[in-house]
Amino acid sequence: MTVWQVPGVAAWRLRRPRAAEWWVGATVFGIAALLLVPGWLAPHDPYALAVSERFQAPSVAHPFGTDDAGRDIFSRVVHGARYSLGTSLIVVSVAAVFGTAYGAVAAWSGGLVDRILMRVVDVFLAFPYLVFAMAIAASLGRGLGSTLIALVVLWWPSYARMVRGQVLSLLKDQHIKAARTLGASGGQILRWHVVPHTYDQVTVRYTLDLGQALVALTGLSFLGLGAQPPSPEWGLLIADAKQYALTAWWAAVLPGLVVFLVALNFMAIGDRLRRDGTGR
Amino acid sequence: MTAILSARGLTVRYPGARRPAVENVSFDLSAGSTLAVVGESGSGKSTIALAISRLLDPAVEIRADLLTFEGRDLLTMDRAGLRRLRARRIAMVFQSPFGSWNPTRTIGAQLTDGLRAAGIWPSGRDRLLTLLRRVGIHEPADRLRDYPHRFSGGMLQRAMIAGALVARPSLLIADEPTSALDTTVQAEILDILDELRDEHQLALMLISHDLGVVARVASSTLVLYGGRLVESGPTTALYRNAGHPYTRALLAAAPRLDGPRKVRLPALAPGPVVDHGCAFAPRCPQAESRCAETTPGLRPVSGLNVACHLAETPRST
Amino acid sequence: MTKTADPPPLLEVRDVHKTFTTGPRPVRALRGVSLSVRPGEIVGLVGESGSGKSTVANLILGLEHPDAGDIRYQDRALPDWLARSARGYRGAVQAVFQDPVQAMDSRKTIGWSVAEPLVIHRVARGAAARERVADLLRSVHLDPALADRYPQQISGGQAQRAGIARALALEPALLVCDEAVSALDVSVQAQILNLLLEIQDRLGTAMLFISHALPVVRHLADSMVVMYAGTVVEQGPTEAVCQAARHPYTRLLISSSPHPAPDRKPGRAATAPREQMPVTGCRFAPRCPLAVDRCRAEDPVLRQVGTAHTTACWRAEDLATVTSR
Repeated sequence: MTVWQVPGVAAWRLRRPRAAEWWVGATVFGIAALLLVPGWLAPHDPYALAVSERFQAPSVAHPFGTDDAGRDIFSRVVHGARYSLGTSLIVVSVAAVFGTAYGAVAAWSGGLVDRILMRVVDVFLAFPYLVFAMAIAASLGRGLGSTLIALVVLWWPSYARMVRGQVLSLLKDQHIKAARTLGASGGQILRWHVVPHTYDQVTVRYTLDLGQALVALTGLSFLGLGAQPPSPEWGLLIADAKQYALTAWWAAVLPGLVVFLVALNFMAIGDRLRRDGTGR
Repeated sequence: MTAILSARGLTVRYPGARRPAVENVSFDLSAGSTLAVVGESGSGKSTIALAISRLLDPAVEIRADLLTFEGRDLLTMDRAGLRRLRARRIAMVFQSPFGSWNPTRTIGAQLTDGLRAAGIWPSGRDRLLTLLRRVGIHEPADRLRDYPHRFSGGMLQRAMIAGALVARPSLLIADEPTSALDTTVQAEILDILDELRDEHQLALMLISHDLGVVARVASSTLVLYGGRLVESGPTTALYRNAGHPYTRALLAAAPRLDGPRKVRLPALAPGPVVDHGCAFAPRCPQAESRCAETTPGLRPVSGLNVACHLAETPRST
Repeated sequence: MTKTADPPPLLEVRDVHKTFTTGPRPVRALRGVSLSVRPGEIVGLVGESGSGKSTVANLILGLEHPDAGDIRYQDRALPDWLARSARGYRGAVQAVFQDPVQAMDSRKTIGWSVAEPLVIHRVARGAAARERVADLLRSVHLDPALADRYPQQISGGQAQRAGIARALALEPALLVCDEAVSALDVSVQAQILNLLLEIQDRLGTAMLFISHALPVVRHLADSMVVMYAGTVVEQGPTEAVCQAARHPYTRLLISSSPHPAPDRKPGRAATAPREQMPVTGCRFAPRCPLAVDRCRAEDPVLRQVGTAHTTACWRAEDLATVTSR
């Protein structure tokens, strides 16, 4: 029974997923649920004030306890995923797509076009991100929107540089030379032999970056440069809780732990993908 | 002449490996002679070199009834002793001329490291320059200031040989020293090795996948298959009347300048290396049932040692 | 070999020059190289690294363009082919590479790679392409089930067979084999050489077989071309070149070649630093034991020294009196 594909035919087939794929699948499913239907997962209204229930320690009713206004912290964390995780996803996705296209175009064009495009990248890479984020916040006003813009602007160049390098070295590969002698057109070579080879590294970088973007974003919010109250953005939750961290440790520690674990999960997946070298 | 390197029943097993990389290999090498170790990739030929110089990871199991160098037991020697031995008495030259040099440092700086390790810096400098000239590097004092990328592959290999010999070692192990080089350069380097062996009364161990290459210089040859010695003896006898089907197949498969042209070469079919019986049996055109049952031991057959049940029966093809 | 009226050459390389200017100094890779391949003939091209033999392959494959000179296929110039019928030329002139694993896309199965030329040239697609691939794999003595594997999952010998199947997919008239057996163990090399001879026999495919190994070239080739430092130093029928070499470099190659006959001690190989490549005169002069003043002053030209046997050496006549073997 032949299962291999011939060129020009889409290569979809089902097979038993590997352990790493279950893990990635569970993560994707979890994120989707948090972003799309947080109401189903959160036991309480994240904004509902209940002064009588303030500073409750974690319990079955309030898994993460309550804050100074009696709001359920677990529900706030669940609803905050839209702000923290959602924004990170947008930042990294936009940066990855734009950066990949930019880098591939630079490598494919070569010569002067390549040099100009890459000088622009260098300029962006030279910016310290905190200073830049503060500048954007100062000019566009504080809020998640300005943080998102600042991070995207600073994030895409690393993809551009990575993909350009990869495409440049791919173009020197023997199998590209061989494809040319077969008579493949430029488009066929790009579509069949170049672009698929960048997927692995882009995917790994994308996953690792999701974790980093989440940390950067919550960090900026923690500093007051990102999301503004009463949004349940995770960095902001921690920043709010730090005033009473000694009396109600859970209000700062548990959301912090969530940020840590989510970021760690992305990094671990990224590392695993890198080691597997996906699809090789 | 007494052997300076002796091995009896040398067996090397990598952790977790199904079978030993080298199994029950014995040989002697004396000063002023050349021993070739020949086999395909995976035959264990490089592992023998690494086992002698004890460059293998400690997790690798090395056993032998005897493994001595200049009368000293290599198996029980401590690390400091081994280091001294590698710095002064046993020199090695590897296949990849570019991989063996650090591209960021000059040739001179790297050769100087070797002199320091052997404790002969700066006294050995003149000898180094003499040796460099000897191996065909002109104006060596100037060339030492160059970085490796300014050298051709052949020149790097020459410099490597000069550096290897400066501490007056008694044993030189060359692992595929010419495989990456052009035909004419390959011949030059082999000739240089041969002359240096003669001049310095070196014991030379030459590891190669190519019987034709070692024929140029080796006085005796070991042929390995699947980690086992299948045939050994004087190189001339080996070429004239190889007793093992594997040796014969290797010789017959290589096109020769004096052979017939445009004919089918007798090529060995691929096959697995087996543990039980003769390792070569699945690929052997003459294998009988007993070959799969009992492992043949080395026996003297017309001037050679051959590990084949059929070695004395007349050949028929 | 029976001698019939010479058929017109399938491929002709005429006085081709190529200089690479990408490095720190310009490198003159080819300085006036000419050779031709007749239909069904195997031409061996032998030389050391830096002799320009791979550049010749790249020019013929249209991967590089000559600075001067002509490459003609079926009496039509290569630029004309590539401009008007690139697919026609690509289908007729195919390549077999040194590293068969590297020459195939590591993310594609063997089947995909062998089918690729069929799809590019719209010869077959879908189920028809699969069927053709299975036939092609069988024709190079591979199990069609290997179509399912990736290049890095099969042995070097199997990969080279698959590479040959891929090159044969379009039924080319000429195969350019650039060091196609150099990376293989001796028994695998023998199998591939047998396969190439079988292809010549069965399909009448012409080949330009490029290698640094003289015994291999001699085994396969009907005629051969010896290159040194970007020039052709000797060419002619294989037996003539190997038995009666008239260029000192060819003789050096013969005496340096691995030779399983230990009693025959070859002469000491000549040594000369590569860096001192002369600008005028014979490029081999610094390494040549026979070089005279004229060799250092004047570029030797190819001269007839036998039937279809030419050499570029001023001392070819003197060399004839020295026995070569």
